[in-house]
Amino acid sequence: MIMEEDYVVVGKKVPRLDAMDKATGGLKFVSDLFLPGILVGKVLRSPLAHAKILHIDRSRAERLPGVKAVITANDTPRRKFCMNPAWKNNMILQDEKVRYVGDQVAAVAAIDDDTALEAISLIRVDYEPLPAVFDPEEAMQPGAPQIHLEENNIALHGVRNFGDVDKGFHEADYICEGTYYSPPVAHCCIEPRGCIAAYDSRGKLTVWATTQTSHALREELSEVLGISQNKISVFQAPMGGAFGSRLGMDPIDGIAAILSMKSHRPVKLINTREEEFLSSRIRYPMKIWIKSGAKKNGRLIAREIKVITDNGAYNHEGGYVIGNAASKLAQLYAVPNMRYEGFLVYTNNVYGGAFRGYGNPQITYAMETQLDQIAEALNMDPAEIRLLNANQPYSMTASGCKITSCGLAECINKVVEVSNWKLKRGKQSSKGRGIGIACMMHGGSGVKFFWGKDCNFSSAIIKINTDGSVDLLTGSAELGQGSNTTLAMIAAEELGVSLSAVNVVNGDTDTTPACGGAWGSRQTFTAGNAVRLAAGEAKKQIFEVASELLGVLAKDLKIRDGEIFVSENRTKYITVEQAAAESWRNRGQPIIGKGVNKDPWSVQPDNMGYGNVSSAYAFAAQVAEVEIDVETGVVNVLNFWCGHDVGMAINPLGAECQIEGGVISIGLGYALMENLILHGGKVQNTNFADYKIPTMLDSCHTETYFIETLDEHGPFGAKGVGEPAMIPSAAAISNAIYDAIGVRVNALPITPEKILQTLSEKKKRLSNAGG
Amino acid sequence: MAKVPITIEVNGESYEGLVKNSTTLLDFIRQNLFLTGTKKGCDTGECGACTVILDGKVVNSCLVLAVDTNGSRVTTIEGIGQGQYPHPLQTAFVRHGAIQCGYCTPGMLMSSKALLDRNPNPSETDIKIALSGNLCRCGSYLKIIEAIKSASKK
Amino acid sequence: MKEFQYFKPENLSEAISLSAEFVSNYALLAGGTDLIVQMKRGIKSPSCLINLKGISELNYINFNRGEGLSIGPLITHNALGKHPIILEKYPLLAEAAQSIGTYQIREQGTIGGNICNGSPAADTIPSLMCLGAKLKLQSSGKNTVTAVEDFFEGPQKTKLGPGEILTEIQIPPLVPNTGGEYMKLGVRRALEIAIVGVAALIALDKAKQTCLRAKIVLASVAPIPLPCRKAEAVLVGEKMEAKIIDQAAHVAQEEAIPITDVRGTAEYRREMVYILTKRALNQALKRAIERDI
Repeated sequence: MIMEEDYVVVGKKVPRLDAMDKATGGLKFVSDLFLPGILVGKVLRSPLAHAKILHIDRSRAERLPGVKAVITANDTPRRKFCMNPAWKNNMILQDEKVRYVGDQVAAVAAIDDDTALEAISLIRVDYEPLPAVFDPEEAMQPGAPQIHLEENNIALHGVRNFGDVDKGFHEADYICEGTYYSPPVAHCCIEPRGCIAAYDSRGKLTVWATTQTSHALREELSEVLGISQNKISVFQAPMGGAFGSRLGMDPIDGIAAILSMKSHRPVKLINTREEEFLSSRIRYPMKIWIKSGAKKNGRLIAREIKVITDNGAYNHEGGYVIGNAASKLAQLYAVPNMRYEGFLVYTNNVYGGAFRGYGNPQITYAMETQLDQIAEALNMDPAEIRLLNANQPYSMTASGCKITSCGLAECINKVVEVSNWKLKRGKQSSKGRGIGIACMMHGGSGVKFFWGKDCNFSSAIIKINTDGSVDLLTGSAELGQGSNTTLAMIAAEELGVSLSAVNVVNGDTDTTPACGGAWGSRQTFTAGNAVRLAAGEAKKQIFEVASELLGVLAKDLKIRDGEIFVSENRTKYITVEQAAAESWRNRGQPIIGKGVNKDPWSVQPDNMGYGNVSSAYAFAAQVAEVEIDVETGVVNVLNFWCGHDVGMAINPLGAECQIEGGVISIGLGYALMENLILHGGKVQNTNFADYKIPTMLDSCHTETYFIETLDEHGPFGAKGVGEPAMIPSAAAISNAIYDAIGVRVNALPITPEKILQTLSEKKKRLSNAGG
Repeated sequence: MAKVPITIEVNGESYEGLVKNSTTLLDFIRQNLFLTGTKKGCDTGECGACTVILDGKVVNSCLVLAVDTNGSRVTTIEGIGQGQYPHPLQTAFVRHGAIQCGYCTPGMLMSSKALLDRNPNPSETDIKIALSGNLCRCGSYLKIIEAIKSASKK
Repeated sequence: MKEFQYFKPENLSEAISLSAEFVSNYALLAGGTDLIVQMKRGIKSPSCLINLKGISELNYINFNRGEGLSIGPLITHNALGKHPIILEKYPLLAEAAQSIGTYQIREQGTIGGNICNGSPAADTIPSLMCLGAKLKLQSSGKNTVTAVEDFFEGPQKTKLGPGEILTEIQIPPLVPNTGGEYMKLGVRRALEIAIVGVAALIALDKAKQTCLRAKIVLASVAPIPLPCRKAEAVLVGEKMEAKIIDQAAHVAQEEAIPITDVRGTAEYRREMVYILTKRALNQALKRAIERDI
């Protein structure tokens, strides 16, 4: 076993392997790829929120010179799709009804953009408008417009019960209730989604897709198109951001495929920015009512929550997202008694999907803001109450989570120390400044939600070539989060070769073994373990050869710096290159190691959400410091201190980028400025001027600290980093605002206007109270 | 309407092309010249992914008509450093971890280069103002600032 | 974008002739930061585009004490915002220019374009109105000079007539002890269209310490950039004390007629008119006191 202090590759700050390619503009994203004869695809989207499609006249579009295909649902196998087969109710092109503004109705492939756009304008659709509903609570009422078949538009009704929550509240010394709102929020990847589909004369479909899950995409395309999987190749194109938006098939993937099949030419279909805002699968908006009970020493003993989630027009991942959100109630701080009821409700709004955090940011905002209220009522410091309640290593939660490594207390202590919390908390309001803290717990290894009972696997193949270089074939996805670099580092460390000796091939369904893909902050852990297993097998083969050549037992061999030896003075050694070449040329045995990590420590939760959902859990504490202009309500975030239990930072530079990045763009934006504004189901702010994501001028000083708890199951102790980065950020900011000016805004985003409104309400209350 | 001929110098090389009046410089660079390093993020001058240097000015190429660049000099990401000879900014971006997904990176680098060309020793505020028009969703802003500061010392 | 005819005249008279020839449906292209976006979104579809950027006679900044400032319409926001004379003597115009959009937009966008686009949220217009700017308009028939405050009719509607080109922005000479300020409210620090914008200018009678002249102009709270005449009247002849400034700010608040849109509610905007006007007036006063000219 390699000891930590001996690590050559992992644990070192390493620039990403593809960074220079990106810096020179050489790396090709989907929109940069050209194939001979490639056509431009465009989608006709519904202008209505809810309507029957009576008739589509495409004749004028078809007659336009330069148009090579015009398709409607009639040109598809009309199969419904969804990540969960039990929830299928979407189609790549709608046949009977449209259910949101932006819904796909028809598509064209033409020789250039202008021709394609003109063709779209020539397609005539006769709609019969139907009554529409946009508020989930209204949609649940009897008599509301029926969007699908489910009664009262309730896509899912879930309940969870752990412990005895009524008893818990009965025993509580203090109870707090509140309602919180999380708005519709868009991913805003700087690269719009897109794909290229090329259907050839052999009946083979090749797709270059911006996908987080290339193997799953192949499966979904196969089902939706009626083509067998071995006739579909999916290449995961480099992605200009994902954050969950590219999990699972997007209708444009299926549409591009059908256009290619019909036109017999490759088709490139890239969303415009406007389409990204209209039809991106957003963060599920939630209305969260939460009640918490605590003992007078601050220990949380009961939590009850009711959540109404706007599913939007179609099913995608809502059921999983609300399940994940619900799970956090009993997870963070191991609250022993918990009851949850959640409704996932259809509306005629744009529908939701995975977005960094997967329901956890919404619920953590509610939980962590309320916890500060409890702390205040009990006269406790917010950091102290969190320390008291912090999860402990090797503990269980009421929901059945088996926590292994846990550095939550260390995270809290660290950020308290580096932020000068004790000097600042409660002491800066005269300057309009405040400091706030929030914590989070999240799965650090993926979960067994999707696709089946035991489906959180990752596999890898390692080939050692005759020159000692290594090919790592992994089904994982590189979204720009640095996964390829991390996996290469794991392989290099395990095989004792230099990082530059490792070539990563990822996400290509033809050549890489299947992997669940990038979601749930799983790849470092799950794919990393698969890589270790594959490397272990390759190493075993290499050692067999080396042991014979060196005349020693394989179990006594070590491998480092590309050499295989027994003792550190390396009097007798053989290079990896020599051993690999020997095996290939003189033993007829190329070195190929395979690893499949089934993630054996986690289970699919039962119907009540009970079970050890992750093999490892990530924890974090963040402190935010803000300054507020109390006359305008404008919030200036001054500082963020982030303490993250990452298990082990395989690539500290990469992990820092993830955490810092999560805070200052998605985290800050979610807290203070992002809101997809819908009127009558139509998105009003479909550009970056009106949908606000932070610019460089809005960024704040951020410090990141790793707490390395060395999880026993993680590769070299590592756990997931990606989503935890931004989960507590909004609550930390909200709590800092309270410290500064004594008000809480319960509806995100915390805009200047809401701050002033809340300040003014507080003034009125105080003056009424004063008589 | 007939296409019009333009002659434009891009990264020191002269190109001739036929464009519609409505073709943007961005589309011309990407589709006619196959210089795909310059990216399309929004096509309306808000994200900065399409930033190039045009006759010494840093601009959103999605808002420039190709016909308007007849006789102009353009520098794109491909023109500031390649392969064995990266620009110090490119090296700095790589070293400091200032690149995550990489989609905003070419635009960021063009704005950074233009900044250092006019102000070799920028303050942090100068950097933030100069790059105010380059959006990054991965949140690499702080590392980009570090990288620019580091490159500016050389 | 819909296809169009395109011309790049080399001089002003050629531009004027082209405008007359294509008078039924043309657009003048300067920086393109508004027009090209509008054309891409289908808001404008000119059949002829006349690119003014080749006309060097429209690209200048001239200043002399006696005549004041004259600015060519093709001056970019960055050029304006960084110009030493503008920074020193007309800081409220520099502030306005520097607050626009992003760095790239300021490199391309022009003051002429900002004016002729006629957005009620335009940043440079309130400052220009405070400074008493005049616009020289030329067409093949005539040359006129019109006050900038008379130039706007409604959102994106100006009095630029068919065949007319804005050829110069004239700002009168400065009066001693005059100070101005432009303030813009946004959620972010860049890429913001003003939720509210306020330009304020105060000319002081130094001896009497009273206000000789006051200008307050608001952005984003009316269909056009809005001069607050009643608020200005509150200040004229008065000693510039906190109470009177506060009163003027309240009156400006009453004059504003904001709407609710994606950027903010009418109520918030109205409240912010008061706050920003007060701040802008205080800053303008400070500058007026500090400056002899």
